[in-house]
Amino acid sequence: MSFVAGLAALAVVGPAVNDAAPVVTQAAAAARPQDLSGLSLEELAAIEVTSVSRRPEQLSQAAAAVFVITRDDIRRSGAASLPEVLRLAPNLQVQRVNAGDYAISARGFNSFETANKLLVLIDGRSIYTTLFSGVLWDAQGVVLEDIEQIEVISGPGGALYGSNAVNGVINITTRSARNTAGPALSAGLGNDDRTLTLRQGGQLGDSGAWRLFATGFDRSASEFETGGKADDATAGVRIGGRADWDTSLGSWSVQGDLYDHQVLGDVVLQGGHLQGRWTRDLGENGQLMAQTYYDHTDRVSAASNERVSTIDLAVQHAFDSGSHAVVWGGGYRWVENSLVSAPGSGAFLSPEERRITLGNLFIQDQISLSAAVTLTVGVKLEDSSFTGFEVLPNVRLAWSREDGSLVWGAISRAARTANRIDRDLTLPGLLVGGDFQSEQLTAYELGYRSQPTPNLSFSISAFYNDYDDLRTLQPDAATFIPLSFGNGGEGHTSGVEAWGSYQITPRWRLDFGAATLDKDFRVKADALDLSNLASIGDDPGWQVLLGSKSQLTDNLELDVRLRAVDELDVSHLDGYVEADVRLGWRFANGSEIALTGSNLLDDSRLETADPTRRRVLGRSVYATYRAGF
Amino acid sequence: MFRRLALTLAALALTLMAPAGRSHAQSLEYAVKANYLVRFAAFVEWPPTAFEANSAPLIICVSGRDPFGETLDQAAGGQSAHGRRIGVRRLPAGAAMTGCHILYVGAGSAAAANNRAAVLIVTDSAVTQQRGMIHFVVVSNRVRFHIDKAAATSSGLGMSSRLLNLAISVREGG
Repeated sequence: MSFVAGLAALAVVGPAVNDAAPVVTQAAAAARPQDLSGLSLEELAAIEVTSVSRRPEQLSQAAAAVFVITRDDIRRSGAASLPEVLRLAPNLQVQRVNAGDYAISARGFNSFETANKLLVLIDGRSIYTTLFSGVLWDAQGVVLEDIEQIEVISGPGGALYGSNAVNGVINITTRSARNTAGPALSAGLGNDDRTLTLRQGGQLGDSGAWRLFATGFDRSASEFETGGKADDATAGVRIGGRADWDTSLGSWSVQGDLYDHQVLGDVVLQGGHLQGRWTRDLGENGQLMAQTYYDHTDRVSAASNERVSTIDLAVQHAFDSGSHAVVWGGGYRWVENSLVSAPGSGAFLSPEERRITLGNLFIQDQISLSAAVTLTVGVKLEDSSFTGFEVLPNVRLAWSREDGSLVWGAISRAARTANRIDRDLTLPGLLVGGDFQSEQLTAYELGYRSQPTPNLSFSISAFYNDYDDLRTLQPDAATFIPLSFGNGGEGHTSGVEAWGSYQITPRWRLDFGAATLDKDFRVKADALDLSNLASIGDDPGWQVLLGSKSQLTDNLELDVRLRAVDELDVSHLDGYVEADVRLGWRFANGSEIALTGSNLLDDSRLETADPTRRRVLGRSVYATYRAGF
Repeated sequence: MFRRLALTLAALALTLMAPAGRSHAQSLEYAVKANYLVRFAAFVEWPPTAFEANSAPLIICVSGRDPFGETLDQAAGGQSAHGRRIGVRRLPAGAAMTGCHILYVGAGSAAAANNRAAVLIVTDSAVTQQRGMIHFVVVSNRVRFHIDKAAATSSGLGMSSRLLNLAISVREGG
């Protein structure tokens, strides 16, 4: 089924609903104080140590629910793809749909088509699509070994992050080329995944470095629910590189890649990006950063042909003045999106081509009220060619207590601007484009982070999210048909996210994480909705993650992870418990072999209720070798 | 009544104007440096004569002002290198560095410039511009270091290529 037709079908019909008043829950998490004792020399060299005078703290050290996935966590996950790595974050809910598709969300709204409130950045490049505001995970392919860290922020991203940071931000940072010298190889072989990555890096002049990589993956088809091999085998290749260097004008970084994927059997994805970044230290006057990128994607299937070109420019300036740490800046993005459906398709976008522009200006001031109390106020002004002007303020307060713990609270506004499906999806005679406006959020958060003993740390946060103008499917006031998308939904979610780790011995660490979600949504009194509020997603009421990382000998590592996920609230798809086990051997020269078994407890499971896309998933075994990374 | 209000306002104003104690407590800079000191042990080779016995611990010393506090003890806790437990010692002013294997030169300490003992001298650009065998600097918000391999070699210390690879610069002998 074509992408658009699938969206249309679900939007119109909605998932099966049993109760009139859906009540949902989901879980999320909190931040982990940095325990550095397990890190290698190289990892220490990579840690950002926001210095006292230069820049304001990163959001990760401030008043927000941030979970950090480190390089070591990624290595020890034994994961073969980025979405599988994201399962490590307790504040993300990951639903694998089929071989290549995933639905990933924070604080609710999950399912392939409704996970549209998350901002995902790779080195500052936004990867959500203006087609439906979600991320097409099958088009992503960052080299996992070259990721420095992944910050997962649940809750609105505040003024510093860009559009779509409504329910959360995933901020992926790759390693500087300075840290990736020399040749490296990584290969994996398993019943689900085959991967191969080659990298070479070297010096560039006195102060710079470069790297080039080539990577490929091949993922087996899953199974149909009715049995038999499914149609979703996925494979692809990607080449790219990065260079970092300094001149008297500042620090420069250029990176890019080209890829060719074939997904879901016969859908061809081709594209690439080129990105440049410049930072300059102005001494007393702070730091200046400018960044630009160009990104292009083609997605060609029998049913449709989609082309997206994006140009993005961003500038930001950070400086300190007395007790104020200020960041301000702006950005502008042009997106050319064209989606041409095959002749005779029941659903298409009208017009086929759109240019969407998105501009923003932001300022954030972090004010030290006293040595222990920091007040952060920020506002972002956003202008979308679809939905006009938005003012998105946020206020955060953090109190560092004597014992090193941190208490924080925040109130923020965020908005999800319209995408092409919201505005342009057309089914002749049934659905026409309307004047869908932004979905609005006011979020209230409270959190606590502490390290009560040197070997125990935890974070807990609670949120109450008040939503308005959520997407509904409304009939024409006079003639009933045609229908169009409107903003007739409202309601709230609340939940608690907690995580932590306990270092039992220097060689054995336990990690835990949990998140809960309660949902209460309704159609506004003056609105009609024929979609059964499909836009609120299909979420578990809670999820729990447990992990054990142990060093059995100087060379042998054992990792065990358990995850339990509650049944989905709308479809009532069963919950599940799964286990992953990894056994790794590190040689003295730094190379490593590992064997990972994933989802070992069940022969088969479904993680999502999407009626047309979902396939049956099973156990996987994956052997890997890596050297030089 | 008015007077009390004025006092409250004055107190509030003082609070607002208080200097930013902000990120100092939260900065990871010294936590990273402390963990480096511990990690270095595994990538440096000492001559056998540097240890009193086969079972003797490997000692990290801090001279002058100690910027680490408990962080260093926590970083070293339970760690070992070359089969030796890693210990931490603070040197009183003027004390000799006998028994030290790694020496962090803190503020106010007379750095052993012409040291020939088998001690890895670590200096910090936040404290001094005079470089030891390893010299910490903060570059692009990350803690990195320069290595003076010539000085290490002349003290009988070996350094692994992994350590040298990570250095911003390596001063070779010659």
